[in-house]
Amino acid sequence: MLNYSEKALPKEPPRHGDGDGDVHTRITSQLQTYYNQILAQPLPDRFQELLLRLDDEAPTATDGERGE
Amino acid sequence: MSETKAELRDEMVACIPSLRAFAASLVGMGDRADDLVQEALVKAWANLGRFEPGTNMKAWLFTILRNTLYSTHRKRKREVQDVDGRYSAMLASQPNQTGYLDLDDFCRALDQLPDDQREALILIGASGFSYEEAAEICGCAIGTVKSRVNRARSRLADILGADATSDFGPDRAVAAVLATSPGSAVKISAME
Repeated sequence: MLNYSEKALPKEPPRHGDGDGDVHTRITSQLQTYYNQILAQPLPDRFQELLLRLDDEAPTATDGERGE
Repeated sequence: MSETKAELRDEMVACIPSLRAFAASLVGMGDRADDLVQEALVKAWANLGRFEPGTNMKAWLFTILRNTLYSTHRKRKREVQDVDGRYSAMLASQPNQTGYLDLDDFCRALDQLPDDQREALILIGASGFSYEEAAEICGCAIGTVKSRVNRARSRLADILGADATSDFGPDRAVAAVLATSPGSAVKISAME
């Protein structure tokens, strides 16, 4: 009688189609699509206004809360 | 404004889209994300003298944005949003229908991740940071970032994999055929 321990069984070959490999590829590409969609959005006007306002203020190194 | 400051300002401006994307992944897309970006930019500008030229401006700004979020009272649960509404509006100009459906599912799955895992995944998988940089931004060990990213990926794979093989399996298969083969789409609709 053949008695295979679980360890001795050959590993399943990588699956295709709806297998895990496919899901991971999809995750990678959808994550980038998600992120790139936001990157590609036009900046809201408030940022233009903010930059104009900041340009009028000299940045200082001595005062203010440290960013980290 | 000195030449150096002007250069730093331009570097900062170039990072705004990435900051918005990062903020959206932390607090959800919308005004709250933009408030956070704005606050981070104001802080960064006020502290520009502390930035070491030649180091990574994007990582510096991401750190400030993240600390702004976590150090203020505004740390609330990430807003659960109308995914369909926000993404169909955002993607309205895109021609590929299958693309939206997939992305809606993906965003729903992303919403289900714990905050720390989603953040690590975005930093590594989308924002292009190294594990070392991401660890600095999050103030944790490199191994912690790796484990968060791995857990995020397997959780997403569980959620999306289950969708792909059960509820949405046949629809996806049909959608894929329709999307890749306009000829067959015409035939199918002609048969109906």
